[in-house]
Amino acid sequence: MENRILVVDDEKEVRGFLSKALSRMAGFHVELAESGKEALQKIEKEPFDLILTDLKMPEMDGLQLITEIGKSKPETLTMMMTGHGTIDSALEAMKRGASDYLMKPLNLDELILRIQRVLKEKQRFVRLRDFADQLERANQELRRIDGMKSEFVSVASHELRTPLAAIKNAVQLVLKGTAGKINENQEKFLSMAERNINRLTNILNDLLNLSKIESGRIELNFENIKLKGIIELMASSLRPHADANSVQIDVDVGEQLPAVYGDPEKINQILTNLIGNAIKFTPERGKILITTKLLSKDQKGGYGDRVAISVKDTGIGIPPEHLDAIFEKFHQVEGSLHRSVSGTGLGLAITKGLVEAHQGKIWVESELGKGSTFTFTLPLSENERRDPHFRFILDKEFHRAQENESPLTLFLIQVLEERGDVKEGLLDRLEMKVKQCLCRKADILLRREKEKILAALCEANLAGAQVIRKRIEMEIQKYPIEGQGTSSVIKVGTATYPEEALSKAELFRLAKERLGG
Amino acid sequence: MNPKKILVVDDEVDLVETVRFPLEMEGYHVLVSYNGEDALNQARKENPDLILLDLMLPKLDGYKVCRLLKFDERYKHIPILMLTAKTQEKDKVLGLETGADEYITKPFEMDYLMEKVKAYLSK
Repeated sequence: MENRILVVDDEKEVRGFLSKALSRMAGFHVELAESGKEALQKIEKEPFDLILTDLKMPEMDGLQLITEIGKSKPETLTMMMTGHGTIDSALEAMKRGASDYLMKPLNLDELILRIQRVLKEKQRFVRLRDFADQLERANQELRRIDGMKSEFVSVASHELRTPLAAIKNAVQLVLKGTAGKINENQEKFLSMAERNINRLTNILNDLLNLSKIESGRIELNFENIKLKGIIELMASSLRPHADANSVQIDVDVGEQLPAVYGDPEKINQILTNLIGNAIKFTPERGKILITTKLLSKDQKGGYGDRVAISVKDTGIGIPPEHLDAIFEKFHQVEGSLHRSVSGTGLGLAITKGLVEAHQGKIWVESELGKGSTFTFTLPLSENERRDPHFRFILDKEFHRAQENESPLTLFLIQVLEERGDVKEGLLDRLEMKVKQCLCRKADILLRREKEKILAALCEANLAGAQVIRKRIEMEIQKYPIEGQGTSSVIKVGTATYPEEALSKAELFRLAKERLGG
Repeated sequence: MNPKKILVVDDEVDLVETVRFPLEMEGYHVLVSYNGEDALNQARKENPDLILLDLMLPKLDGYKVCRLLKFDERYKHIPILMLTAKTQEKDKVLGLETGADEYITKPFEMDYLMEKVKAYLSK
């Protein structure tokens, strides 16, 4: 397509010369204007790719023109022609958004070359921007489809349940003799049918579980948990199953182990899956050992103080080529030793999702023929105590705000201490103070000792959020908190849905960004 | 003594049959309904000793049927066992909040159901 160029110059000869040169030599479509005012009128009527303007003109000079164009048509490129000795003006033009400048007297070849370069750059920019737009659109579409997929899995699993129930009932009626006596062979095959109905039910349950985890709709009820009790209970409930396969389960968990922060039901599920797997892949007279260990920050598996729980077996082990993929969906390694229990291939994917919902990590070490050790971590309840909870509450509150069309403000409060050391208990006292300011309308949801940060959610709109924010800032200024050093600054960052941010991520990002400012 | 009366409510005919049969074999008198409205009418007219109630029903859903019976002085004594394909925790909470005595997800074990029925009828 022909590029449209508008030449603006108050000297008729210059206009004429440039018009001829640019259209004949370079093939541009050239139009002319003798003043900034006329130029603006022309631009308003029809779009141009590039405006080539003189600096010195009566009434409106080139700099003003460039500023005006920048305001009204930011897409339009501008270039400035200046005389010798006016390099400052040329730089000023660039500052105001001009793409380039040219010194008079003009060298025609150079002029054309520079115009072509500027236009090409613009073309490249537009193409990149279009690509970015396309990517963003594709991304949105993917997110939508992903949501639909989760919805589909959920609906499908419900729809499959009803016929499955009728089949199961019918099979059980015949199998149990309610509908009349059956012979040995009939019993054998009906038992087979029943076993597979149960298997299908397990797959359905697993699929539903996994889709909930993947879509972030999983609900966790966090509390402080004594791991020793939970582990021993799970071990003893699985012992009959292990005994039947002549596998021994031992638990070695110290009394001194501090409490962890998690959802007891989900931790049960994690343990059941891991111990169940261990039983499945351990030959007769094998052993399963469950141990726990306190991890410090620097060790593998966590960025805070954590507890690592290991389930070690003397089983057949995992081939090295499977180790990476073992936590993926539908990944199964051949060789279950007990044919009665066939897996769904989803157990470890679910386990991993559940561990990650607790902000934990899971990994496996294995030696073929010797056994495997699965280890996962859980946060300690004292440390970062509300951290895993935070994401969940934020999800839930944000969802509720969206549904009820009510506002939601995220407050982040951070202590910035130049010398790096915050006195013992400062965060406790700050938390108390912030709570007072929030008038018990919101609770502190997150407390990250390392970054000295607190987070709270409140059903306040933008105006309300500003009032609360001022109140917090004044309160801190007037009554410094005990332990607050002279070099420490307390910053408050807020973001409000829907006035400022339309997504959860945006809410968090904006509040965090404002902490820095 | 008259046999105990059980009302089985589900829009899936096959499922109703697989539940009705063993109950009759146990000697119960079984009434059936295939939608919520009819279930409510039958419950009020026949005053059964126990109701097995599906949740997703045409005309009137199981939650409503349950609530209407459980909030009525004349019928609130009737045990209601919900049998449903809805397995989510929130559905279960909702079910129990409407006053249901049990929340059993499909598919279920026949023995388990029979035991529950027996237990509620002997209360």
